[in-house]
Amino acid sequence: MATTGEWKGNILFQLKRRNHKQSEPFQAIIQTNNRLQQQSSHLHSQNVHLQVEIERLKEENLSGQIRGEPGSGGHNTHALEQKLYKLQEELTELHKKRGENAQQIIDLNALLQEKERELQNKDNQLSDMLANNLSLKQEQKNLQQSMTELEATNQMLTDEHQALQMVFTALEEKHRKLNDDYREILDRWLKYKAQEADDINEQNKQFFKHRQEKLQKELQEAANDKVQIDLPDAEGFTPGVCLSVTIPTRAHNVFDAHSGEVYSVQWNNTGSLFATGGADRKINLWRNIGGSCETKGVLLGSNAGITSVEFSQDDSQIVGASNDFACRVWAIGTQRLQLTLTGHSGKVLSAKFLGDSKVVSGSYDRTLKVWDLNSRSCSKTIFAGSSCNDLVTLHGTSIISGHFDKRVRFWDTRGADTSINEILLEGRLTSLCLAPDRTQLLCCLKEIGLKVIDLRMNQVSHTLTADGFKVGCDWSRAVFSPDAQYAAGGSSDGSVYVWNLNKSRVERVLKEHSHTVVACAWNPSGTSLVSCEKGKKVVLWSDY
Amino acid sequence: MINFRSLWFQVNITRGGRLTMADDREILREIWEGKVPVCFQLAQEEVYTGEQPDPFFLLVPRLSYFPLVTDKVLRHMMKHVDPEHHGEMWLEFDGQPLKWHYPIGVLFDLYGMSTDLPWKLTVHFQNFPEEELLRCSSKEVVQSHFISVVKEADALKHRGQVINSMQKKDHSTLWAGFMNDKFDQFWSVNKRLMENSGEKAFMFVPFRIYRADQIPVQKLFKPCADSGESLTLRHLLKTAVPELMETDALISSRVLIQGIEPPLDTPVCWLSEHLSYPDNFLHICLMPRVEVES
Amino acid sequence: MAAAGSISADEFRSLAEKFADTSSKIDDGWHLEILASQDSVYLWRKSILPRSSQSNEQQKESQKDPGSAPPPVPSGHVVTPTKMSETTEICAQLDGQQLNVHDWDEMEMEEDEDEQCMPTVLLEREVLTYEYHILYSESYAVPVLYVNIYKQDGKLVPLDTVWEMSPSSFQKLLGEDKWTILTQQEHPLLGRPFLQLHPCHTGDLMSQVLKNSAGNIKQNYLATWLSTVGPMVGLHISPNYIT
Repeated sequence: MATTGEWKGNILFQLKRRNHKQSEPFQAIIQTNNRLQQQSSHLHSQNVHLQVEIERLKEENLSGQIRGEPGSGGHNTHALEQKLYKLQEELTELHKKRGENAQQIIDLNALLQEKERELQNKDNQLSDMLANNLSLKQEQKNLQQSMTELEATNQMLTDEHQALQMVFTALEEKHRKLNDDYREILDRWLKYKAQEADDINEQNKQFFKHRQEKLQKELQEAANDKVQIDLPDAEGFTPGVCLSVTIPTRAHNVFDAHSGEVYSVQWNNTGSLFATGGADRKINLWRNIGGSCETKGVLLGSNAGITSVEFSQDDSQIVGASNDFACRVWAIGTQRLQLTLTGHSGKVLSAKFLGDSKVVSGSYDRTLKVWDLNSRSCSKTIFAGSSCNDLVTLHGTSIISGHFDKRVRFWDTRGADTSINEILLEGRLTSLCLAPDRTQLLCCLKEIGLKVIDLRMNQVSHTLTADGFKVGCDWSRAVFSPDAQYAAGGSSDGSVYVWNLNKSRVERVLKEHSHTVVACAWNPSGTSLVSCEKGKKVVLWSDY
Repeated sequence: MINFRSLWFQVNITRGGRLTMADDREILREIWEGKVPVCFQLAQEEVYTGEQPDPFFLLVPRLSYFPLVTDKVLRHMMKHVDPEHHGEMWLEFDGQPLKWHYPIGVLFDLYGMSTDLPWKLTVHFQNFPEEELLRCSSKEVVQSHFISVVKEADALKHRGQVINSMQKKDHSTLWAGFMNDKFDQFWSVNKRLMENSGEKAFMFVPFRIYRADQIPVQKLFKPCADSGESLTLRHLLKTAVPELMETDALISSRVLIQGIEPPLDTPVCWLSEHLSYPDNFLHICLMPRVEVES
Repeated sequence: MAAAGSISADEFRSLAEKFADTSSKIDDGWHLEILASQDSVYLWRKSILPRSSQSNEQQKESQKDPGSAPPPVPSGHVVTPTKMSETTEICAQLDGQQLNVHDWDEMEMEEDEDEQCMPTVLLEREVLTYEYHILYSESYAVPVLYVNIYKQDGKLVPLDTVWEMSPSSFQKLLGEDKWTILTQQEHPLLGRPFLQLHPCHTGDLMSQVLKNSAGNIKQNYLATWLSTVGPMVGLHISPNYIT
């Protein structure tokens, strides 16, 4: 067996011998052969190329010879030929020229025709233009004419305008003059008016003086006379004592009290008549007779709407607060304006008698003023801190005021300026009403409803509300019944609500008004109720 | 010259078993360098132009395939054939059409071994013997054939695991190295296919045995016996062509691989690793011994 | 131990024998060839099929409209190509007539006569001979399908045309890797050129199929494999092979 080396060596040797024998000897030969073959093929192709070239040249040569052959045919002939050739050429030249000329003629003819056509065209155009021109001239004339007409019209209008201008100036002058006259007359009228007021005041003074004198004289006479004294008849002077309160059930009487809104209503102390104050600057007095209300008089003198009215204790006077920043006192008997109390710097919302000889007023100027009727002047000004919507008096010395800042303030006119007490409620106060026994105060609160304050406890004892009940304005007035068992208030829905205080619920809703009900007043006898509204109406309610 | 070679051989032998890898590599190199001189001649009956074209000589690599090396021959011969009647070019030797899909070395060993050099082949453009030869319309066909044989070889050696783990890029590198005669490039990929150790040990040896006028023989053959003994070329022949071994036919036959006759006790494994063609097959030619050469 | 999806030479031999038995029962022309000299067996069949050059288009059309009857054609030996599914039947019919090369010559002669009356029809249709061989590859341990398709003049249909003839479902596959799927190779037993369906993926394919039908292992190996890859080269397998 051969070792590894042997067979491997053997194989390697054989391989080398194989390559040596089969490949190496031929390498050079084949390479050379390939090169030679390539060269040969190259040469062959070159050869072919050259052969073609030769063929081509030969061809060329042959054709050259053929062309070159005809060349010698005698000089003479040659000269003649030359001449003939020349003549021929000349002839050709001439022919050519003639042809050219003919061509030129044709061209010119054509040109001529062209021009003629052009001329024709131009002629046509010209005539068109002339016609056009004519028509334009006509048009121009027309336009000139119309222009003249328009100018004439314009002139006429200008003249007219001037005339009107003149008239206008004259009228303006007249208007100015009339205005001046009017102002003068107004001034004079105002002067007369003032004079008249002074005269009336003087006359009143005189009248009173006269009456007083007369009275004094009569008294003296009476004192002198021995008179048999009869018991006076109580008729007409019965104090408003309430026997029993009945809740009204129907509208007893409905009537137009004023020509505008009715702001306030109030009974006198006997319940025989009631007063209404309205936006028409008047206070009307009414008496209820047999189911209809008769007017008992009209109190004039205010320059703006009456916001509150109140009768004096003896029913001889009436005090009214007005939006013209003033309070006025009228005498019932004479129905004349007795006093005008000015001094507030804002609307006066409420004015009440304080004792026998004083009036207290509350205003939007956030003050309360106490007026002395004897000296006809303001005796005290209380700075309340908030605009006052309503006030009531107590014992002739105390004042309770309801304010915009949701507070009820208690004042004593005898002492210093400061409020004795104040109670904060949930809403703006629009009215206050004191129960006849003076232990309870009814407050009307905007957006809330009614509250009853027990004055002995200084706290709220009842809250009166109802579905649909909504306080209509800043001076809405709600009242107690004379026995203080009920409270009545007007609502913005046109109803009057009556609450039973004991039960703290609505006892009755009275529907008649078609506008917001502003104020109510209960007859001191307790048998009827009167209410007023933002329309012109006043309604008298009773149960019979 | 031969004496010198013998002397060199002797020197190598004395070094004995200390032959190194360098020798294996030298053998691979020698195989790679193997070339055959060929003389191409246009078939007489197909000459269309008047004169017989000059024969065309080429030194063609044994490892290559004819369609890869005969472009120049084709151009040279085309000038002389009927432009109306010519098809694919094919080669013939001594009446035998040559199958292009066998490596040139195999064809030469099979048919040209006993002729004079250069090897004279006839070039044909007509009457393509389609019952004998595969069509070869482009080099793509050669590449596809080459890769499919490599695949089969790997299926035998490694159950196809190596070739399947390769990327297409590796296949291209292998092919390009082979086609452009780049030994190092080719072996950078081929060494993975020749991996023969541990898990990658050859399962079967891919081989084919060719005999003139016979269908090639291909069988499953393990490089090692169950006992672990390395099997030799003799074992392989005994398994693959038992009839050859039964008689004295072997003595009258030459066993050619790569144009040489390796000793029969050479291990098949080593042969497969070193004497395989680039398609990874060991192509063995059996030739009747003709007493021409000594 | 063979890898999953492959079979041994003995398994192939027994499968091939069974296949040939079934074929002889249904008479569809498969023969088992035993080469004692090379200790090998292979199956083969020759079928003669009509084929239109636009077979692909026609096939698509008929798929779109499966209810339509095949267009009427004058009777004769020319059979109109229709749906692929029907081709199998036609093939069976033709095989039933036991056409061999001899018959084929007669047929051709008759057609030459027919050509006079309907030349256009004949020009559009070609009759092709398909020769299928199923061999066993020891290298891959799987069966390999070889096919040669002959024209009427006995010439082989070139590879390019065979690629084009392949049904549209295979076109995408062929478009990408046609050089690694179907090429011309030397028949290992006959030494003649044949078109070979490359066996390198058969093992993977069959291991997938066998995995899915664990029950009758390898019993239907050949039929399953052929019905999968056969249609690429016009080979259709009768369902009778599936047991």
